[in-house]
Amino acid sequence: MGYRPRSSTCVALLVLLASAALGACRAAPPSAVSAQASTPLHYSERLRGLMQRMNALLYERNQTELEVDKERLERARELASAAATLAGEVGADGLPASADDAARKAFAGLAQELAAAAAQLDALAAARRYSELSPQMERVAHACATCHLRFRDRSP
Amino acid sequence: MSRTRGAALRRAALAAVLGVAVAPDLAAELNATAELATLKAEIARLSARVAELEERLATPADADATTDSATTTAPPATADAIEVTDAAMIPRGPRVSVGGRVKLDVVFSDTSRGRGAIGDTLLAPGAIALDATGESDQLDWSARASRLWLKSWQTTPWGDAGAYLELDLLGSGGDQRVSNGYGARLRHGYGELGGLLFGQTYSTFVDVGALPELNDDGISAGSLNVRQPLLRYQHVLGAGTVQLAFEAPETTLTAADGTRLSPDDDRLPDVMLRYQRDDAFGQWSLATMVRELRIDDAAGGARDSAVGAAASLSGMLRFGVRDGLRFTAVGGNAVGRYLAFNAFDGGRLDANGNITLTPMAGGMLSWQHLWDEHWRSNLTAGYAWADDDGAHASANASLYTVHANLLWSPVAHTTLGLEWIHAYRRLVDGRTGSLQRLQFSAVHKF
Repeated sequence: MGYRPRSSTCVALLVLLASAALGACRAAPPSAVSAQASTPLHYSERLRGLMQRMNALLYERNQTELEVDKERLERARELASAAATLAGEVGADGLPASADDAARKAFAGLAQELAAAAAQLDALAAARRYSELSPQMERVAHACATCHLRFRDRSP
Repeated sequence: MSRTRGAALRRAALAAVLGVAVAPDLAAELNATAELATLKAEIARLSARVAELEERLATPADADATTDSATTTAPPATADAIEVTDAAMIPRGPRVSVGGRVKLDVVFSDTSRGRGAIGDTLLAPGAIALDATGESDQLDWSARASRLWLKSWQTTPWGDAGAYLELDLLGSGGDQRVSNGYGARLRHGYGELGGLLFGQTYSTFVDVGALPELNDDGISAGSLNVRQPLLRYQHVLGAGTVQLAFEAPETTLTAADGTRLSPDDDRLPDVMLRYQRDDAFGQWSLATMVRELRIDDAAGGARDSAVGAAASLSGMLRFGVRDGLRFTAVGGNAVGRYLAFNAFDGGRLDANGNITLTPMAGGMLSWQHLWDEHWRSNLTAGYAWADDDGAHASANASLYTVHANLLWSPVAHTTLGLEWIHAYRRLVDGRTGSLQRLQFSAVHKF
């Protein structure tokens, strides 16, 4: 019990944490920094972030369950909006000029599937149908994943 | 039809509260809880699946092999999905559900204030034992931080209406000899209609989103944490929301002899104004408070009042999908009981019965890192300070806390974690107290 920390110790701790935070900002990967607000990559990252926030609600300890419900609906609607915007962005001109007609048709079809799934998710959230949000989110994720598997890593 | 169903659900809610067995209705409510549990589990499964697919995308050589299997395991096509565009699909009657959490805390402290001290179960940094006065080495086992809640919501022409009641077992009574029975305590009890909230919940001055994730159900030194009766109205303003609230007042003063006074002579509510936004980089909030501290002690002759103010900036900033920083900064001459579990009184009462407000400030930073979908850590540091000019020798002058934890959630509803806690306080006369604590907690939400 001979330990006698002083106020300066606490201040040093706070400064250390603040420095770590700033360091993390600077250490952001180049891809995240260079992603423009309107690029498909931006919306793809945003979708991942929103899904992570939905997942974090499972562990929430301080908010009341009513507040958690509200946030869950809000995040679902944000996720639907981001997915719909992504579908619009990539559907218009998401493939390089060298892509053939069959690929373009399949790509447009997947973009439409994503848009439809996003619209359905938004409608379910608006109707507060909690138990149906997750299966619908899975459809949104499936539309994303199918397109990624078929096109994203094959682009020149 | 909807009236009949609504009445049945209301009966179910009443039966649940009173503990009366109304089997069919209760079963319906349990089904609703089970649905929610399923929802949470599916969200976790969804996140895991996205991560898995992302990982597979990172290996182009496997893409051909996986495309077909991904297609064959597709969820039902959107053509099969339920049409919900009809507004009539929105439930009209009240939906009631019951839930809660079971929590075990095993807490080892290197010092204790003595038998039955609540500070052995949760951290109250302003009340840790002073050096050379505390008992040494204490092991405390408790399930008192378990909670039970009941909620209800429905749509109305005025907006969503909801009600929420939450209890824990940190009330009075009980001992550890035979049964470890403890009294229930009200945490939240409020109703909502549109933007109006009435009842007891977290004060509007408290940013719940900025509270750190801790095993400890106590508090970080720089955090705000008060639950009290209030009347609050919330309005959307641009990209944020504005809240105006009138809340239950409670004056705390340090008397000339150093004792704490809660005179219960308040006549005006504490008034709060808060602006909150949720942006792409995180959420932040600015809050202000004006309140009156008052004493009217006819017997002692102390009759005075003083009006003070306080402000806070708080929030949570996100750095990618794996890191986040929660923060709180607060200051003013009326912070008082709102900071660090009332470690400092709002004002001092001199020998002539006059109130002098106590300026004070506090800050908290909490870094959260997600190691993967099951493991995460939080490192939290908090500091609080009060002006000691003219203060009694035995009053707290400053305190700080550090919490560091590692939490594991093997499944969506269960978390096990280990947390190291260090707390320190210094009195006006220079005496100090410090605490080292190790806390294991297991939580299951249902």
